Amino acid sequence: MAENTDKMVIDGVELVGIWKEFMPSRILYEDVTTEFLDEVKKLPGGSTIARCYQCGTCTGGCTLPEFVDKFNPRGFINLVRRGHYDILVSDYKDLVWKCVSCNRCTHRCPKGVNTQEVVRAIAKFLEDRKVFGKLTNDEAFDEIFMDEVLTDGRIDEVKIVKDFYSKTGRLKDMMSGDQLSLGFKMFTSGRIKLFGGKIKDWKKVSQRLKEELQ
Amino acid sequence: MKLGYFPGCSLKGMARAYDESTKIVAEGFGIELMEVDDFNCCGALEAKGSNEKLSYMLPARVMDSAKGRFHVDAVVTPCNGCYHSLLRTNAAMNENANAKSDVISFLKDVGYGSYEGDLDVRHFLELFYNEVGPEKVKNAVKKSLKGLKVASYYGCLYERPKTITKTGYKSNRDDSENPYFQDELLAATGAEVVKFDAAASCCGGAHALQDESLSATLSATILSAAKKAGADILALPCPLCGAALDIKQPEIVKVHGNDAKIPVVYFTQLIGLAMGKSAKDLKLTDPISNPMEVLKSKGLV
Repeated sequence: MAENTDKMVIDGVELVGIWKEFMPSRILYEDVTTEFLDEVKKLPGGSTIARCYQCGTCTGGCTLPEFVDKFNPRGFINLVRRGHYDILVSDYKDLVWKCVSCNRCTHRCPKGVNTQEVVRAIAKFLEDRKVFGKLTNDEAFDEIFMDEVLTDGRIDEVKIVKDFYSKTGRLKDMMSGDQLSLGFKMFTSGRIKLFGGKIKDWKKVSQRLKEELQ
Repeated sequence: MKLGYFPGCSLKGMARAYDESTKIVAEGFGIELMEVDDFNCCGALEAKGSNEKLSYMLPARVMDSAKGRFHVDAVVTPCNGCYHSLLRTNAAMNENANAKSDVISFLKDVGYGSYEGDLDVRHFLELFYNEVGPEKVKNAVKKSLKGLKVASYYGCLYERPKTITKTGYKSNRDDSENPYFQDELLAATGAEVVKFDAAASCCGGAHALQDESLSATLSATILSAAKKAGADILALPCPLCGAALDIKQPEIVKVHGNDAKIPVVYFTQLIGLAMGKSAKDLKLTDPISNPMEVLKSKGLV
């Protein structure tokens, strides 16, 4: 802070004159690029990111910091808004996708930021830029899930689990004793159906939904 | 009031017990449910992360079908995930003109009706509390669950986020920070509802496959909190939490020990039991966490 030579005496106490100065800005404007902010805004769920005023209510109530060190939704949003892509990638890329969608942040946000969807959008932003170098579990699951919804209209849990393990190269985990006995119990109690119900006009709907994805 | 029943995919698969016990309880208290039997998947959390428009189209088709083909006044679902997707679509259609016109043109293209985002969406727990309520449950008890200590767990999306559930704005909604509807309904059966801090915590079920160890840790926190509170059994209103806390429980216990071992059932199964329905009809043998053992020891089955 610049040296201030003003003198002020109140009740015999001499105060230095820095009270007249503004606090230095927390955001250094020359540092900011909105390139990444604009990109996240366009992703699914990202549109409300710019409403954030960094109060931290989201992070105060977040489920994860107790279990995942340095998990910080407010911080992720701050880095995107200030264009610190490099820090986001180097320090936080393995954390952002861990959000479990409990929606406490969105519920409590005083500014109407859909924080849970924004955090997902930031994870997607990193996925789209290929910073993980491989298909993440989240991407693999979303792809399998959406593929099954579009094909059959409904979800078959057993098929989803099988396809997920196969896509992530872990089919042998599914063949463990525990999993097999679980599968056996499900099957004998009639909860695994070999022929799922079909929706009669799904083909037409599916066609139209697929156009949307392209 | 004509009610459409949207069970969702889980209730037609692993969570069969929830589907059947819900129907038994509804019938017992004179709630007529008309099943929207050509429903599709609501898109869950995956659609909204993949494509915004698609995440509104999937639930809109369900609601259009409920309204246009089944002519219902409201649609009720027992699944927290489906409840979230349907409400989220209505909120978007009412607040965002682009989302609304996208959905309307989609429905037109596939030869459906002209759904406008105006169907009332109810969670079965909330509906049952408001339309029936603890007093009527108390009067209908044939077999009191006295002596059974229950932890009442709600999960995340039942009353969160308020931007779509309109908690605090709509009089029929539960308290979002300290939900109590299920507590009061279970207490009406004669069971003792224990004080339980993790009632609205997250079970991590959304990442049950993608991030297994974190999901197991979150689930273990809830299960052991219930056990520590002295509960014999944990009751819940969500099939996804059911998958995370019940079906995954053997794996959780392997890592986190027997502190996390506690039987898990759907709240409708306990209410049905108090109504005098059989364990077989209520599918109380379905849960992997074996509730039959404790229910037998209390002389309830």
